[in-house]
Amino acid sequence: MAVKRLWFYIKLYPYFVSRSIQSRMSYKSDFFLGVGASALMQGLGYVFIWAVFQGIPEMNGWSFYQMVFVYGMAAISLGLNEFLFAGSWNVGKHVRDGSFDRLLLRPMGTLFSILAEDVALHGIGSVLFGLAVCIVALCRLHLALSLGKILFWIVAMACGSLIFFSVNIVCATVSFWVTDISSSMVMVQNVSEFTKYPIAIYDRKLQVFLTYVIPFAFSSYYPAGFLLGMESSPIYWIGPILAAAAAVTVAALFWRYGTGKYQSAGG
Amino acid sequence: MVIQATGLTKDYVINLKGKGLKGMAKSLFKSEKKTVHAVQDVNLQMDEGELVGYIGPNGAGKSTTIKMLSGILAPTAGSVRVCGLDPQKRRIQNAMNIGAVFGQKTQLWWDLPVRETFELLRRMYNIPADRYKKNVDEFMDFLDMGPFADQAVRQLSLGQRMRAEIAASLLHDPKVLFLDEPTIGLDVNVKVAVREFVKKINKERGVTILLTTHDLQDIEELAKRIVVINHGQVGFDGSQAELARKYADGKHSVSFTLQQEVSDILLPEGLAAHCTIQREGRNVKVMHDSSVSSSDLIVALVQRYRLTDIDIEGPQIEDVVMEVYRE
Repeated sequence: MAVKRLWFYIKLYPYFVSRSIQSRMSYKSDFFLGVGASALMQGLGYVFIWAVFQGIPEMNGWSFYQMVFVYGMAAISLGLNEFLFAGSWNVGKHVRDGSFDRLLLRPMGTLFSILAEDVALHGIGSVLFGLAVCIVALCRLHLALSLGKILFWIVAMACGSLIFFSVNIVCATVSFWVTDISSSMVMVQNVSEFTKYPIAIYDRKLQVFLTYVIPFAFSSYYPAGFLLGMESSPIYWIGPILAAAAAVTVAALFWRYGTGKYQSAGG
Repeated sequence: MVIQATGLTKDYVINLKGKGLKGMAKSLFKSEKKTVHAVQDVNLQMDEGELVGYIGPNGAGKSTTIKMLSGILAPTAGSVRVCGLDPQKRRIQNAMNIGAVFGQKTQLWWDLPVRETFELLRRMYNIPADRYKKNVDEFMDFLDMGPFADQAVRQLSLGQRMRAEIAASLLHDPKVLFLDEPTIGLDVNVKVAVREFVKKINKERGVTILLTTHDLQDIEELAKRIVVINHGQVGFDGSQAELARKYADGKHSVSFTLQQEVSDILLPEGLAAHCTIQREGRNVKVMHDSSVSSSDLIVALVQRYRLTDIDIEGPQIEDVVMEVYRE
């Protein structure tokens, strides 16, 4: 039954997404501007790291290109999240104007409806940029990744974007009680800025926060540490998977609880 | 029993915001709460194939009831079963059994053409290809949707959109259909088309339909059974005739013109107690309650006076409903 249901969603998803892209593509300049802006934002961060390293050879044991790799990992995860999970930003609006009703009338999970309804193509800008700087970093570090590590990399990126997504969903769920939550969502988004740099350079308290409270560090620092062969402790390779699983579980449960509190709107 | 609601109750808790900036700042820390009893202890049973008109003034709790029946809202108390399922706990299965149209909110995809919206629904509800084709052809034809089937929903007129909404709600052959003000804002032609379609669907497919509307013509033409809700409570549940008897007694009348001048209209004793007479020269209107039959009254009158232009009037549904809402 569950497998059948999953298959139903897998078949349905591309169809929904292609419809969403179809309607988004009617605004073509919007799309190109978005891709450009997204890549430019990441590019500015790159310049920032470069500028800092003009004065110092390394930071808490991290060299320039190692930091660039972490930065690229974060850009890929964030970009994937932006691209695939843009729908989470619409939850507040749906709740406020009562259009969440129609999602509840459909024979599909509401979370699926939210995700399938909207993708933000410009997230691809971030992903491509991240991928490019990661490859440059690997070349400069003279590292060749084994097939196993490349597979791990892909899994880690998926896990990373799921972590961002889960945190976003937890924030969005609050809109079932509080009407306008977009500012708190932006705030949490800003926390993700920290993951663009290795958490080793931060204060201990912030490290704990980014590992156990809002586990953004598992999207970049931990898997990068493992991929670059800098760390061997299991938390660096199993951590991202466990963190993603935990985050998704918490988000899904909280979402389910929140939708039960939905009050609808108007007549 | 297709729909069974027992003791259905929904309370909303509303945060009261103070006036102006000061009030807003205050409500950030301590907000006053008010409980609104939207629906109270509603009992509603509907058999398969029934068409019930659910009426009541604005804010009476009609939409809230429908939202609980369709799985959108969780009841505060009481139980609901639609086709044997709890609509909220088994929301997805329930969604397969029901169709819903909310006149004030669209269920369609704003940027997609009508035809593509249908295609999306086909996939969403896993509608078998032959059923899908048969339904689309039939609905397109009956509701005359051909001319706008390839236009994006946002470009449709209200009448076109409403036809598309109703067709969309029925593509998956639901057993139950909720129509929440489906004729609101429509012109007369579209209203007639929608009514005919609803009638047809109910008759030919045996779809159980719960209809809310403020258009009493809808009720008169479609609903044999009427449920009236006011202030969240069911005030009446029965046939149109019973409704008229209960709320519009004394609203029957016989009007006529006297051929000769008479000083007083006298009625036999058994009738006089149940009648009131309005007179303007030779034009007379005798109003009576339902214990008197109009034919008895006319026979009695014809035996005594010479009349022309006899006109019999029953209670108008408007009168009935106004009477009910006033309570």
